[in-house]
Amino acid sequence: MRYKLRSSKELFSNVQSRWIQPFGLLLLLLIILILLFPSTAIISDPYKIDLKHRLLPPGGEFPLGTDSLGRCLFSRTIIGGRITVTSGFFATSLGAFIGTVVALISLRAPSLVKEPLMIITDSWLAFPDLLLILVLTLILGNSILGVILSIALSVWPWWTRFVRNLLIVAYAQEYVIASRTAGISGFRLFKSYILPQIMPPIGSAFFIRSARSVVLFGGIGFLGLGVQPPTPEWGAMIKDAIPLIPVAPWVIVGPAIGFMGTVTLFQWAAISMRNLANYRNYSFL
Amino acid sequence: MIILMKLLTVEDLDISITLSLPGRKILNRQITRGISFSLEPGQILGVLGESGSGKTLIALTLTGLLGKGVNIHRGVVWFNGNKVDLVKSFHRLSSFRGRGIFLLPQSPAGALHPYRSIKSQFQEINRNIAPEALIEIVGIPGTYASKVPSRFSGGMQKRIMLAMAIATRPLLLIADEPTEGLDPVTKWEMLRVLQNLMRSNNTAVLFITHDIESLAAMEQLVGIDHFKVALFHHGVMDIRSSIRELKGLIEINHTKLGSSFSDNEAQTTEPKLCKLLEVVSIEKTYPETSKILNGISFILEEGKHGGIIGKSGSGKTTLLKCIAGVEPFSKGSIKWQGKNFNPFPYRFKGEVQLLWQDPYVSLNPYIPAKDIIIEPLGNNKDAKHKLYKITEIIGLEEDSLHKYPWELSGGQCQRVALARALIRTPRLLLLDEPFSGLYPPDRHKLAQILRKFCLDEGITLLVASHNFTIIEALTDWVWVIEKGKVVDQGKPKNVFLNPSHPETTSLVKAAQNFLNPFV
Amino acid sequence: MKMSIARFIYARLLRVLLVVFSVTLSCIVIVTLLPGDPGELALREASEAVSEEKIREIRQLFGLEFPVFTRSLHWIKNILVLDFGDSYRTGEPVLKEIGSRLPSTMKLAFGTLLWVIPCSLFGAWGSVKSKTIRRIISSISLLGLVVPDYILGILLLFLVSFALKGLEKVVPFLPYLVLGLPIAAFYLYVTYTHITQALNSDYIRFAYAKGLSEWAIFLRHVFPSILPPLLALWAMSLGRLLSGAVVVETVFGLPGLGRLFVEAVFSRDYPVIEAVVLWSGWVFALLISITDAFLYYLNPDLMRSHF
Repeated sequence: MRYKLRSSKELFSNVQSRWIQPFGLLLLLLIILILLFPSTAIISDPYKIDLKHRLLPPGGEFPLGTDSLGRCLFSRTIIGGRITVTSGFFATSLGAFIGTVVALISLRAPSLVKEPLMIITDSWLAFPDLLLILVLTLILGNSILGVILSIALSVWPWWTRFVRNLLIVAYAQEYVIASRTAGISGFRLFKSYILPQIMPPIGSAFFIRSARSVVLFGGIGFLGLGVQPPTPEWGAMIKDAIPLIPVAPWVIVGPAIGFMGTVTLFQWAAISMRNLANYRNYSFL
Repeated sequence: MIILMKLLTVEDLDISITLSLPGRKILNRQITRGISFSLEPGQILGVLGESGSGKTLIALTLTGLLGKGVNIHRGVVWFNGNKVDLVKSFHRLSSFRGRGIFLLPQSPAGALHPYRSIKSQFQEINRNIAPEALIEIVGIPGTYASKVPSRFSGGMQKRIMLAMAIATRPLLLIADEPTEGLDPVTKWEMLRVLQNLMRSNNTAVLFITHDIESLAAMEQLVGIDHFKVALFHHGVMDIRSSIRELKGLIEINHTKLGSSFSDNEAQTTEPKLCKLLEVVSIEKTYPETSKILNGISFILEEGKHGGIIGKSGSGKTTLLKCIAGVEPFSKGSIKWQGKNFNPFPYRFKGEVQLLWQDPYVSLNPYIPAKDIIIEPLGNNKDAKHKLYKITEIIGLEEDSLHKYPWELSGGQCQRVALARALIRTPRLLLLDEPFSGLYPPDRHKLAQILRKFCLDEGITLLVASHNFTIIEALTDWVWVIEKGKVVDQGKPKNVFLNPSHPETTSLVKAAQNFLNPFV
Repeated sequence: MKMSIARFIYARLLRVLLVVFSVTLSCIVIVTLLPGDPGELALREASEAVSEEKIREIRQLFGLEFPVFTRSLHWIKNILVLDFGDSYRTGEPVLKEIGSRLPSTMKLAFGTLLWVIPCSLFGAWGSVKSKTIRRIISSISLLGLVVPDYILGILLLFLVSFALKGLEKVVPFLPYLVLGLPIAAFYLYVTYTHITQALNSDYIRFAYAKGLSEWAIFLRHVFPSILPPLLALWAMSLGRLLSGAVVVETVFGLPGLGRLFVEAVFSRDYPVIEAVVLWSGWVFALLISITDAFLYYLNPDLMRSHF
């Protein structure tokens, strides 16, 4: 516990606020735009097979080169990103929604409903993610929607536990109790007292779990399940690129950078949300 | 040569803290402005300051325990012949911890490791001492040494911490709010032990507190030769040799009051015979602990303010919480205005309000003071008008209304909490150790204001405290509680002058040591 | 007081049993929902002519002709005597299949946690105490957090085999590294948060005031207070790892439970799928219950706070 000599600012967060924040925001905006309007960024048709131009290194017409079927890797990366990233994002949103609803029920419902609900949640939580997702993909089919649903269904118990704990702690704060005694209740209580407490951790967790879902989605593709070719998907693209590395090492670059970039961005977003909560420094008085 | 004789000298200490606010604003708050003081062995310096004034930071600085966000601009400390330049070699102070300087940190309950036995926590300091003997010194049976602190009350934990301090035979003991939250009996014991330590080991004590009465009692105990007191206000220290000299300073600096108030005895009217609150045989047990409420019964009539007095741990706070509907009770019943009513959970909706002991903890840190106060009113168009009316009466300045709770001093926070409790004019107001962070002149005046307000608006009070002056000022009838049961009752004056029950007697006797030093 | 401890233990046991039971139930539900006819698939693989006759034959062989409900009952009955049936794919008893893969999975699981847990503990403590350590560790853990394990594995493999010749000795350790890095990164973050929280508490302050050394404070004060949430975390990770690390096994070609499971999923090998799912569910439930019980033993006061 050392003290600081200089007039200290929270070093990390201030560096962020000066440099990374505007830069990162710009990047995020760019990516969202590309994802929503892919046609603007695509150079050539990601599906067009052109065997004459197979395995070309990056340059000229093909900024990232071409794959073994002559398709433009850049466009495939963009479209693949659209699928992988947005699917991961939606999967987390759906899972979070289900999880939160269950958490709310588990807090308000009578014991008869509460206990079995918690036991079901716990037992669902008992399965390792990838296992569950694989099995669910089998059941729900290999489509985009199928995998999104699978991920959401395997992730919601985590959210239930998480949100439940947050709410319990939030309501147990002394000043919340004090306000309830003063007569404040219901929605007003929730808006001014509970929400500010739970928003930073929930926002932060949301981004981190989204990153995870994106990686999971890619993992499914990597194993050969999920979205099937010719639809581009980052995980599947990596799987195809592996045997090509000695011959055409650039093939793996697109999706690899895509993953790493997306996850980094989500991480940064999560950290910013966490810093939102750190503005009460009076505790050592 | 003179410097060598003094144990501790602090020169020109200048500290500020940096707070980050929402909206990424940075606020720099000056804590001390070049203060200087010194201590000789066997001497005591009382540092008197309101809660929130930053006096704890002085204690932390001297032991090298500052965290992020604290900036030391200037300062030199001499301890036992060693010179430490705070700006350049601050870390050297850490080497004195446990070896010469001992810090008793401020914390409401106690700062012991809750799940390791007392014995083992002693042995961490020094394997060669017998913990049993030491805790006997502070008044705890030696057999408790093998027990675990989570079973003990706050007062006991504080005493054990003091015993640990004694174990290290410190040259300087820094006590940060050692008497906070303790009843008069326990307080007196703590002070006696401190005095013993000073006499037998020639320990110097830095006594940081807002409790004037304790300092006054200490002055009586150690004698004027060994006593100094400093008033810490707005970063400056005003050092005097006796508490009496502070009287004028406190009144000038701290008494900002509401208008239209006179210093008379509060008038009493004919008590209306409406039974406002009837508590019948309430019991409450926490699992794994004993019964904290063991069958309490009393009747509170409208207009006749009631007081509950008892030692710490006797169940006062729990009783108030049960009445307010914050906690459930296991047996017994509560009647409100004659009808059976279970206030749990939060069913009173504003008719009954509870004022917390620690104001900081009970105020929403995310909104400014004026929003906190008018919140219970909902979307009332009258809100602004009521706000100004009540802050005028209570004595809150305009600019503090826009500040956040953590920017306000302890006294201001108490006033904010009080304003919030009163703005809806409840029928019953429960007060838990009210005004405990304020100086006696403020306390007295605020009590008078409150009484008049209650008279005008028809509010009945129920006050839980172990401070006799407050009970006397605010109530018409008092119940004495011991171990969760009512053991004595009567008019405050009678109970204090002619205590009949042994519990009351011990409380009254202890309280005699802590009378208002300015009277 | 003794009464309530006993009653509490019974309640926990009941809960464990209920969890295990519902895990099994969920398995059954999942299993019955699995589509795809193994008979058809097997035939297709063997590229034999698909005819109604043949399909019926195969179904009879595997006992698939009974309706779903009876199948489930049969399944439960068999499980109780530890008969998990034979794999559709290989014809070997499922128990043997799983048994042969367990050693590798266990080695991976325990080996990984063996280095991850101490590293995360000391790394987090170091990060709290020193700014430089914090920077170094954040950058390394960033790698673990940002790069998906399949990419990391491939990269490291190729790096070692092609670029840095002579480091062949490292290769057997790579799976542990790849598997453990993301876990370590996450643990570091969580441990760091808990340590900073603990350091702000009252009694740690007092421990400092007593003049204890950093080491003593870490061992005897900080560590016990952060143990409960960390122990739960470690137990969950262990459970997950014991169910197979699919990606790492695929990348490094290890004969583990994860690969078995993926192959089973591809070939609709129901008995194997059911058995693996059941195994992982039970392992999890058991681990969590053991951890809970251990925590309550360490700290009886936790018994008071049930939400």
